[in-house]
Amino acid sequence: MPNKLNRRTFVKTTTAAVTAAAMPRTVFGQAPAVMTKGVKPLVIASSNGHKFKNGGTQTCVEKAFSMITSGSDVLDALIAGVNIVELDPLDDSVGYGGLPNANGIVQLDSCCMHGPTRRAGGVAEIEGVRTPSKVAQLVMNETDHHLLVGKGAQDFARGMGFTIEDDLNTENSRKKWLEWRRRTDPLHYLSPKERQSAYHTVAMDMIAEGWIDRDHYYGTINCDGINAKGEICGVTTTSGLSWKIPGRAGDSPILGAGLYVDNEVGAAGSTGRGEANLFNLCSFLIVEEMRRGAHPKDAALTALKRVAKNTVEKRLLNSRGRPNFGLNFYVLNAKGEHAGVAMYESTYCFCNENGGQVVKTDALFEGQATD
Amino acid sequence: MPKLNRRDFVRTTTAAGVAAATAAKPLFGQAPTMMTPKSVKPCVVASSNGNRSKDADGVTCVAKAFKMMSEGADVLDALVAGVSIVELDPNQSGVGWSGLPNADGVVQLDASCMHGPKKRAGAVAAIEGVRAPARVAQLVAEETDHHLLVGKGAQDFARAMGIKIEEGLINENARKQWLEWKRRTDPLHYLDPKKRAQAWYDAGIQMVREGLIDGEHFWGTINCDGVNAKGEICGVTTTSGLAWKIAGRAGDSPILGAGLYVDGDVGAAGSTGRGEANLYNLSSFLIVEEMRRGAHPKDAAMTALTRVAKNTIEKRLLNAKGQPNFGLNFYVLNAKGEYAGAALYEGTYAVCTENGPQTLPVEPLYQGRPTD
Repeated sequence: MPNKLNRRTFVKTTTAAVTAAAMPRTVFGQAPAVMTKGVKPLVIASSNGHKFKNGGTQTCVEKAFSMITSGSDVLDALIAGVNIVELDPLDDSVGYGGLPNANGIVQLDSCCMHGPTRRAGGVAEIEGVRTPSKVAQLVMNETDHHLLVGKGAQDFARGMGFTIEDDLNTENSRKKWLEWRRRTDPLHYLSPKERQSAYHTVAMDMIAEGWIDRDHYYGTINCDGINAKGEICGVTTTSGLSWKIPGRAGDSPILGAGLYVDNEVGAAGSTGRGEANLFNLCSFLIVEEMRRGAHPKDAALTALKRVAKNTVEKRLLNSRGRPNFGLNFYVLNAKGEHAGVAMYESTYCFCNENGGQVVKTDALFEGQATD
Repeated sequence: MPKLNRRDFVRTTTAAGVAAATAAKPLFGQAPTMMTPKSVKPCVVASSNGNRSKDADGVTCVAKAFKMMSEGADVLDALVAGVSIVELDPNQSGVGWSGLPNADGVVQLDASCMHGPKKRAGAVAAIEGVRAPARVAQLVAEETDHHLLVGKGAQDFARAMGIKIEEGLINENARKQWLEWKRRTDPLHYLDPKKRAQAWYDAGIQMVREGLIDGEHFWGTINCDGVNAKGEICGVTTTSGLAWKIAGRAGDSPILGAGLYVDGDVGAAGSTGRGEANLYNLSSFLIVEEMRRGAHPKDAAMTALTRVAKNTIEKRLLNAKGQPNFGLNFYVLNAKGEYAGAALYEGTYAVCTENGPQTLPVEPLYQGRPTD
């Protein structure tokens, strides 16, 4: 267990770590293939990465940054960071207390990538585990696979010593689900298409009426980091789309969609409408653009333009003919440059030697998704 | 469905080439947003099992899909109908209900499909109790707002869409092979999952060597991609996944960009072989991106194979020459109707054009075999 760290020791550790970084230590079994030297450590995340503390003193990005600068493996640090958000019942889009599926069951998705060792793992639709990011890391460390889903993922977690809980709902998530259920169930649509559209309409009404935070409808946390040795990792974890069809997997457990890391290039992750990333493999595309020399911001804008181009169905367009959904990217490269970029203006957070902060994203379009 | 002999087949094909230019009819609900205007030479390309399994009329997957396309069927409808021949064939064990089961003896299937002109896509992972998951993937594309349903949720969806769910769906031959594998691995009772996974893999490869399992079926899958004369491109991939996988393991087949990618303006790429390599490297997406920048299908596939080789650094995945110790095949076509089959090591693939169905050798990245 890491020691507690107040703000002052945090800064001190950071400074010390920059010096210490010259003396590399193999943290993850086998030696990294390539080492970039003298990189300024950085952690970047969706804005909930600098909001929730789960009753503690540190946010996700603060925790991850302090662990990285005190020599922890980058992925261990990121996962310890996102665990804060997964475990905090106040964030009802990630982990414990996440908004459940249409049947009231919380099903979680997560994936992670370890740049230096080129390993990766993901779980989709896992039930009963509060911290799916840890299970994703174990899929990476303990199996020959990259993705386990459903009951199989849960059995694997049990085998790895996780407590499997009957229900991950909190009073908050259960009440919100009941209200949604009350609004949609009497309809008894027969056509799945009409039922889908009714689900969506009801949810949008509930957002407009203040029942649900807009950020939490498609809420997720992505968190990426780089240490002074230039080792890059990333993790994404979520409870998925609120009231999804049971079994629906979004982009979060899928490498290249909700997260991609190439240790020589950088990392990209996403929150927002998962289907857009499943279709366009945005995180992978962003890393490929950076591989060809693009700055993180430009790489992310290329992906957003691709999404806009491939969004051709009317139900997904607003009155201006633009995508009617939010989509955010969190990107860093091997030099430690970073960007937060979104379809419409939003926020993200990062943490460097100056501490954690929430800042505005760049945006592809002016205005709002619902315009 | 009328029967078709070789002569009719060629005739229909020629007629369709002419007919396609005039009789453009929107086949998939809403009209395609973009149409490649020129006349493209229709083509269907698939893994080699696409020209092996036959339906009751003796027609293979690529021939069936090509015929339906030539008669004006929606490209994806044609491909899904084609691969269903392989999915339903009880004599092959890498695709559909007769595929080799997971470690618990349960058959779990994966599939994905993409409709180029419509920019729609659907997939199912680890679905149990259905024989032909490609159709379920197509229904996810057509009937939901999502691209991927997994496990029990995918099965419930299939049931609601009128697809018959069968308990304990397993082919007798596959069950016997599973029992043999179980006999070889179970007495060990490994506690360390890493060692257990390795022992599982070794027992599987040993059974391949002893001729108990067809090597191609250990990672068996079918990918099938097509372009019609209007330049409409679609693709589908379907599999029972890695033989004796950990329950819940999903490979690349249900993942867009990994086991399949289609861009209506550019082309299609799909894959069979070690799914983890595609999950990691998003190979099908990478191939389409390379073609977008002008690469020929073959060169695009070679780029992806080279990337896979570069990212394969763990010793357990390398052979004595330091090359990947697994097979990986790509099936690629572009919007002009050019196509290629490429692989890490030598193998075959299937293609059907107006000259009829053929099985051809792939372009290999390496000489020799993965086990060298």
